Amino acid sequence: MNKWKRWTMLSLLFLLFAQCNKCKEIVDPPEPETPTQFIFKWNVVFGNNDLVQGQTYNHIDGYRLLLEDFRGYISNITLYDENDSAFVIQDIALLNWFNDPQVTIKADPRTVKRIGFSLGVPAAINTNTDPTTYPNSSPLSVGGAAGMFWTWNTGYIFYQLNGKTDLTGSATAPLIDPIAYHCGDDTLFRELIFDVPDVTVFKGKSQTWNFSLDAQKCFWSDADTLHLDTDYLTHTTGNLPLAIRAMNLYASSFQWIP
Amino acid sequence: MKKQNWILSLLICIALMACKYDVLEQQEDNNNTNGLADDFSLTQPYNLDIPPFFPPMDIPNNNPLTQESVLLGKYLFWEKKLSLDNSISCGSCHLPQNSFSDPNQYSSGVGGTLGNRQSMALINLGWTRHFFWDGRKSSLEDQILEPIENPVEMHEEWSNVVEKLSNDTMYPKMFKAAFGSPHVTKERAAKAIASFIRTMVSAGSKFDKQRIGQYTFAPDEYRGFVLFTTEGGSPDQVPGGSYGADCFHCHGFGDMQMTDGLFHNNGLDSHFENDPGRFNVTLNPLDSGKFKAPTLRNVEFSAPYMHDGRFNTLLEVIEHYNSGGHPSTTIDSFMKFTSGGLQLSETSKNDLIAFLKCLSDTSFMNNPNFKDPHE
Repeated sequence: MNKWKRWTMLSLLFLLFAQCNKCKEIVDPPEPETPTQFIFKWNVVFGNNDLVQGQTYNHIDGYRLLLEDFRGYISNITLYDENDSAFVIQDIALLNWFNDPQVTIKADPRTVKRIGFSLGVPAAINTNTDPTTYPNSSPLSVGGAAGMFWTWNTGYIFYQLNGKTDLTGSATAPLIDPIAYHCGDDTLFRELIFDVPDVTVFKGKSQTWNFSLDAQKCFWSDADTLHLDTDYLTHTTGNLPLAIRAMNLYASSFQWIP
Repeated sequence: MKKQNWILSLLICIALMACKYDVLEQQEDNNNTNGLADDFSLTQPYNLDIPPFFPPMDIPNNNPLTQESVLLGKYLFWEKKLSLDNSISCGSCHLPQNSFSDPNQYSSGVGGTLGNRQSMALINLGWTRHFFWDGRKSSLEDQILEPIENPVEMHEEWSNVVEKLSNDTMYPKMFKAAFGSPHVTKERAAKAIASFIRTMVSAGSKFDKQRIGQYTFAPDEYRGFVLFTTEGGSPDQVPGGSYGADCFHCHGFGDMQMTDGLFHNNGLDSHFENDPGRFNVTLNPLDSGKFKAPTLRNVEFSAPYMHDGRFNTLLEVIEHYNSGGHPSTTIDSFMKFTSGGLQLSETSKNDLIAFLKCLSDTSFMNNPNFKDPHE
């Protein structure tokens, strides 16, 4: 009788443990695998100052300048190995340059000697594609693009910088004159590649590359200056020349930080 | 031997408790903040047709679209017991003939109290990300909870609503059909109304038909469409100006919704003390005077216009943009004509109105599925 009792209880116990998912997890917890990560991080400044949304800066022409919206698409984030073979590890990201921009990508471990990314949306997915085919969480969906999708030519704004200035030049008058650079056209796509010291990133390890983005250089550099009294607005269409200048300045404002 | 039996019994108890924890955890996944689990296993899915060129609709996992919840939501949407004196339903301020908005500048709440904003039209809200003019809610379910207790709207306690609905002969059965048990909760009520509103899809306008090749714009409608989608202003005054009406920036149609769903200061005022709009939500001074760009679908029927209903006609709205609006520190960069204006001719204004009327969808307003079931 005792033997029978014992066997029944043992069988019951076995059945309960076998059916219980929670117990399975406790008995056999999955081994978490640390992913190999590549991190691209941008430090955004205005000249020698940190860039802060809503803060006023001085333009080289003497006008005060307030920046309200500063966003852009980064695409084709690429690693180049020792044979210069390119590995695209992320297709697209939409970054708000005011919000500690960073992209963290899980990818296979490899040796890296150059890194790169492009500014804008590649032509193959920029025009003549239907944004409603993307899930709403995608930066390429209309909702995910949050105003960075142009409806009239089915393309995207690659880079957008909005702000205010005061064209009277007064030191105290409210800043009410809008400035807006909305650049987006296949001809404005820019590819940036940076030589970096060779690094072998092993499985389960992380590698971070830091870049600077100087918003001041979006307005003036040694090569060009956007004068706010004349060069204050482009939506690309109707003013492509200014969009090209603004995009070139924007592209020149990125640097890899050793 | 006895000792062994005790140990075995103890182990069985532990195993049983662990399994019970499993079941409870699963129930919690089906969520309900008051601890009541929803059971959708006996419900019938509601098949919502997504119109051509519309994006997918994101429906919360904890509130699947079912025939039972949509039906319950429809009854609740039109249920006056949701208000303090049983005088007002959601539909009282969102009238079908006005594209589910209110023809009055400000809607009358319980006892005739007035708010300070115009009732927004309820169209295609299943694709909306921010609710209310200032976007203070980010889901339909959350949005629906608020008007019940708002003193200038229904002015009722949710606890009273729950009691009234629980004592009704019809609702507990409908809640059971929709959620698996007859318990009435405010979360379930909000879920049901949200489900009903997600079915309120408008895609039958001339514009929709034109998009799928079933309609060709009349000449004035086409000229209006071109104006709508063209940069405004004189090129001598505004870089890139092309004498358009410049509507498309904020009222884009990449997802067919005729709004970018974002917040803009469209130059209605220079000061915002009366209603700072989005600022009240974010407390960011850059958001002062910004309000959500509404859809232009059925704009022909959803007067008066703007967050405060200050304009009674489409022509008044166009005149506002044509004038350039009032400059301010937060005016939108798209409002670039504060000096000079758009300079639209009378013909252009009429053409623009002809196009805006192409966004009308009377089949949506007259859809029997959206009508008051209590009548």
